[in-house]
Amino acid sequence: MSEDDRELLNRMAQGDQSALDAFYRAYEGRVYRFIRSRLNDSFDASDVLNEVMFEVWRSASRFEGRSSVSTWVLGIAHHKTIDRIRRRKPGESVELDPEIAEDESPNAAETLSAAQDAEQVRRCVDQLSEAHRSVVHLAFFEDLPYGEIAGIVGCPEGTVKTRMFHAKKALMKCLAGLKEMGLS
Amino acid sequence: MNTDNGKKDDEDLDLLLPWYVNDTLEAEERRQVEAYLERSSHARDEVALLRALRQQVKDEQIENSPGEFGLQRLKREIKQAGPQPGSADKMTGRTVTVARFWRPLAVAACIAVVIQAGVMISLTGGPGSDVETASGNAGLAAPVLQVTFASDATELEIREVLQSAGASIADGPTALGIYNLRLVDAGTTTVEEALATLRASGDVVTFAERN
Repeated sequence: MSEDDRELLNRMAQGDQSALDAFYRAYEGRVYRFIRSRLNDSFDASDVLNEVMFEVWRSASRFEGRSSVSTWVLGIAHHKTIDRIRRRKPGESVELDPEIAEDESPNAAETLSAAQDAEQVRRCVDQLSEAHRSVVHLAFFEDLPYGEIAGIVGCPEGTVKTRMFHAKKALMKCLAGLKEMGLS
Repeated sequence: MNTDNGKKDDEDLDLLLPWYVNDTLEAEERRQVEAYLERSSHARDEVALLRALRQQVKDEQIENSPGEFGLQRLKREIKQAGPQPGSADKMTGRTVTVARFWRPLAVAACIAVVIQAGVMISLTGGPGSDVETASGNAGLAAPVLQVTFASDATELEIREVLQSAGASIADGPTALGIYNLRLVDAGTTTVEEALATLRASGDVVTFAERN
């Protein structure tokens, strides 16, 4: 699969549009879902997907094989998404490594029942910062190792681990809050 | 191992639990986490919670991705941007900018063609004697169908397909090239009939679906 993807990139670099078709169909769903997990707007997400695939087409010759093709593509998607967020909110910085208050965090056993409610989890994931949502998506939807996630989002492995840790704490706090309000 | 070191170790292992759950840890890290799970009920609760969260993330339903519409849009922009550069250096940003610059103009040009098509249908005595612009008229039926047209379809071909289907363009194209259609006379044509006619015009209509 990886070799096939590299071959597709080689052909795209030569201007082969049938390779573009195959590449787009192979990656479009994953890339869209990654972008969509961070942008709450399907039109914006479609637009960014288009920008990502355009960039892949134009940059295919520059792929050096230092990472897997999927890491490279998701990395482009990561940066394009941040660009879009910055354009949407000019002057507002994108929160790259937010910290959260960890006092009085609920324990895992208390929030387990709420975590089994799809609607409550969706609401709480939506409230996460952009940086936390991306790591949660890459770890739990894409099932990627932390090293690969670090390559995609462009930060040290330790930062990926702590972002995931803070994301989990924030989710637990949110789920516990919903449970307390009787919403789960 | 003293208490402080033990606590620090456990905190480090806590950070690895999400990757134990998604089964991507290296063998040595996995072994350490498994030993941690054996001795810590806290760790076992955390893993149960993380598994539930992972399942919800995986199961979350979102709308469909753009699919073939997105591919068509991409290929249009690539065509506008020209062939692959021999040296891609510095070209990517410029071509994206060019594509963005042309996008609104291209959409405006498409809308102009649609409006012109509406006028021509009227002048040639097609279904519906009133001119129906993309902006619509009060009292017109709501759009019921979505279509995309082949990139090389001519105005004449599009007009003939729409007339035979008993449909007219209500609005569009969207950024993905989608047009919304309404039935000219819902009393004489059903949505199913119009849909079947549109789908049978494979060379002109590349996609047809209910709205």
